[in-house]
Amino acid sequence: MKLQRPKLRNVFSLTLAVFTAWMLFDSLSLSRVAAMLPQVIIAATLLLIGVQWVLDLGKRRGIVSGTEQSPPDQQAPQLRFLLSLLWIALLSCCTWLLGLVFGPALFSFVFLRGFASESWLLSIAYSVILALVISFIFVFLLNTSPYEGVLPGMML
Amino acid sequence: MYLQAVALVIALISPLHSVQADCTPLQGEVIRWVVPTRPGGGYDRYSRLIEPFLEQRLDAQIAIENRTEAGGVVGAIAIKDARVDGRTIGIINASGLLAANALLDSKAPDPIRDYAVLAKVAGNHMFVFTGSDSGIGDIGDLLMLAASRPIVVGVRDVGSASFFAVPVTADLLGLDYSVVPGYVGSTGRVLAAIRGEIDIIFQNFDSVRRFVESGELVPLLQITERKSIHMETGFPGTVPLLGGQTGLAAQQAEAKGKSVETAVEMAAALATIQAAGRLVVAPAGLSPALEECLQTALMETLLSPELGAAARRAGLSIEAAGAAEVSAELMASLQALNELRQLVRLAVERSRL
Amino acid sequence: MDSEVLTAAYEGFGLVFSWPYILYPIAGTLLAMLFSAAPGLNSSSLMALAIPLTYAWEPLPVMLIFGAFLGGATFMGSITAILFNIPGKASNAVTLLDGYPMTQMGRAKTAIGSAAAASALGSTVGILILIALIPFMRVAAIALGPAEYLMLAIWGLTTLAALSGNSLVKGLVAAGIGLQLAFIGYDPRTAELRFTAGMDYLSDGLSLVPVLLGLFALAEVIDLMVSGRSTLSGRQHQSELSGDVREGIGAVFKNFFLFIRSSAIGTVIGAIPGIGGSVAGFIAYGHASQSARDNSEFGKGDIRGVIAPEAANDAKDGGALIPTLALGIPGGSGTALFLGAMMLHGLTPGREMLTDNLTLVFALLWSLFLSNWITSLLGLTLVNPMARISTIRTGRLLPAILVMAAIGAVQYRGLISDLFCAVVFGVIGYLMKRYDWPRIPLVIAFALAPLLEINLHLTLRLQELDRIDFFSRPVVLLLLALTIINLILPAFLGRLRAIRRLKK
Repeated sequence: MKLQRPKLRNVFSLTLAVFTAWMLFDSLSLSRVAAMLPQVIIAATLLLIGVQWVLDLGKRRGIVSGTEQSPPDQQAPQLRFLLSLLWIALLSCCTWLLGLVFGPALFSFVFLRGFASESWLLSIAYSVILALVISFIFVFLLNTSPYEGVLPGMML
Repeated sequence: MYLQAVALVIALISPLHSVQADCTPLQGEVIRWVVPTRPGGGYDRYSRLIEPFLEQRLDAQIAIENRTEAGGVVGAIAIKDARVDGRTIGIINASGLLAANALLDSKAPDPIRDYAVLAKVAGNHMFVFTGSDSGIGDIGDLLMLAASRPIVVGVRDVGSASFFAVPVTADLLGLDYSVVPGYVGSTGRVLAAIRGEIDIIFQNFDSVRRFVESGELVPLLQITERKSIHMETGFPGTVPLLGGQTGLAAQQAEAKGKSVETAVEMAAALATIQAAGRLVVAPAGLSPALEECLQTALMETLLSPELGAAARRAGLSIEAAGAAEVSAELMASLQALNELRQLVRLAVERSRL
Repeated sequence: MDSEVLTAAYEGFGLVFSWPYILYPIAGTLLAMLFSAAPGLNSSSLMALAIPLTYAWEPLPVMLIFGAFLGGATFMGSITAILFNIPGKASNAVTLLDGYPMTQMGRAKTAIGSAAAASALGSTVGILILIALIPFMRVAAIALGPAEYLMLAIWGLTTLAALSGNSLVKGLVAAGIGLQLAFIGYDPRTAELRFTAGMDYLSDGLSLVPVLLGLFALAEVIDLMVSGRSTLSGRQHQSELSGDVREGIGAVFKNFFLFIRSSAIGTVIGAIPGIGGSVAGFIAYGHASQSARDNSEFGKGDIRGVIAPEAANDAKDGGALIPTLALGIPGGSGTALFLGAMMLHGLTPGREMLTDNLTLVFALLWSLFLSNWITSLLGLTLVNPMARISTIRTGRLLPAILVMAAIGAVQYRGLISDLFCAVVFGVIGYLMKRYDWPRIPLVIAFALAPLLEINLHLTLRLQELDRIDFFSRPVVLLLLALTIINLILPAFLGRLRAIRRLKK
């Protein structure tokens, strides 16, 4: 686990660098006006990322003072991180498929039962109330239709 | 009067009451109206003026969406690429888009090919203005100044109505000029002229009326062949016309030994393009039934006395025209653009920094 | 003060606080609070709805109700920022930096009390400054050109130095990334597509709201799930919550000069059209952090980190009315809609507004003042039930928070893709938090990028044509000086603190 944390930290920094480098490459096809400021910023950012890498390297080797600080709650296993992503992905999928009323309601039910281990009654009541509140806001208050989702359209 | 406050609260928290309308597929729906300028600007004000009256006629709700990027081109593209179901319409600057599409390698949509025209709201009444402290009192002063140095003109960018008017007018008057592009919104250009960082701007009269009335902005020239409606309503001062047999273009051509006939034709072409004006459009390919529904509803709205009264109060001119008339104007504008093509292409190259 | 101004102020006061006109600001405030509390809604959507409904009204009720819409919206967004780490509006984003940690420490009541007091008082300061500037409004608004806007954007970016926590380099990288993200989409000058990787969604550019929701709200949700925290505050019962409203209100007076400076910053930033009101809070926060003798607690629940942005956010409403009334240039989207409403009712901004219609202007200001106080006082009455939320089990609270964030993301532009965008930024935000990359510099840079780019091109062109002399403009020089101070002050103060620590 200790070996994995520095790796992920480096992967994140590397991702920033790759993204920035890609933007620099993409800017070469732009006109002078469109590329001017982006190229200056991108170049400066790449330089600073390089500086940060050097500083991080120096800290790891004890050359530069200071430690790589982690907030106290960052010791949690990576599994919980992946699970949290799955839950958020579930919300996104439910919303995308079923819309802004039924999607969140279904997600809430599954989350309360699966993650929070709440009772059937609370899970169902919570989801129903949530759907009603969302409907009230959009249909009654704003007289507009919330995002409907792709499934209802496909079924019709 | 306190009942008005209560009524507002009730209205805002109650479903809209239906009004009988012809457009059944759109009843109860939300129609997205795209505006290519920021909130508070000229196009936005026209849109918000029309909104409640059109909502009543269509028995639908209109949601105005401002898309300001790239001189309104992004907003125009948003309308063009929307689903063809009558639930997305918008207002465009037909003159600017025609020029941008026909003359440049820009992404600007073609008002003739890419849209179903629903109605015209108003034409462009373009004037040349200068700041009151610029030392330029009239067009004669401007021509004298141009003899000693390039005139600095502030413009928005590709897709703006002034973008092609500048090189044509400059050519007709024999002005050497430099362009400062990038001002966002008409007020930005107006303030630049008032501050004196640019010499002149090309602007629709309605957009800057309040600055003209307060004396901060001085009109120098009308980019048209006939006196503008704003001049006819007794606006103080005499502002010369660019076009027409006795217009400034003809006078300058004669003074410089150039073809007067050509100058008059070019000025007429420019005026024709301006006439394309502000159009309400939907994406091309709209079903005939929906197109007719929207066209009818819009024309009824634009010609209604209630809208007229509200427009006068807001200082906006409504010059309604139906789709057939507008289509003819657009074709005429395109023809006119072809005549000016070479001139504008050179100007574009020159203005690219 | 000019007797005309005083007379108009008195007459305006009389109009607002008379029957039945008093109903308009009250109704407007309640509507604005309702709209800002609901996810996906805000005062702009309320104003857009109200414009056609108020066509037949006389100008005075229009001014009163729209003034209340402007004033009643900000505070509710602060509450969701403090309690859930979800900013109600972009301008509330910086309040969560210290407001949410205070909730996590069980001090939500203190944070909300402080926010309420700073909001109401900050808006009052903004209005007072606005009134004092009435004779100079037009001159001041006209004087700012592209060079001034450019320096303003650069100065705003240099406040990032104070918001970078322990690592200036990481803060600057985050700012660079923020600028790069803002470049995605159409180039504002040439309409060329930039950095979209062929994705249609990106051709419209990234929108601030889903980015904010992701970086803060969703990132914190991930953090909550990873950390396994049982409640937001770590406490199970309300009785375990420490802090109270009076302590929060008292903190504003204890830090009175900071509050005044922050309100002034908010008013000035709000008065500058095009810069975006969201920036006012960021800059005030940066200033608070920079100017504090001991800034080690900023970002960890320092009450000053709530006072400064809240005061600035509400003071900016008064500032934003300066260019709106003086020139018809809206200071932000809210004032833009207000301007549209004004003009549709035949009220023309400019000289006429500030001379012949001065009583109406003061009626508007009094309505704005009243609505800010109503919002704060009503908000204070809700402190206990709101603070209780921080003791609810995480498992029960998270679905509501996630759904609020999802609605906020989708309904902003009506695009489901904005939800996916928020999720992506949620992951990025969590990783940034985990690996000590500050997020606020990214957001500030993202917000300031358009102002920077557009005015850079204009300034360079005007300089090339010898139409302006950049280094002879007083406001430019002032901002340049402030920028240099911003850059060297952190190092200087850091050295000073180190010397003091050594001496101790």
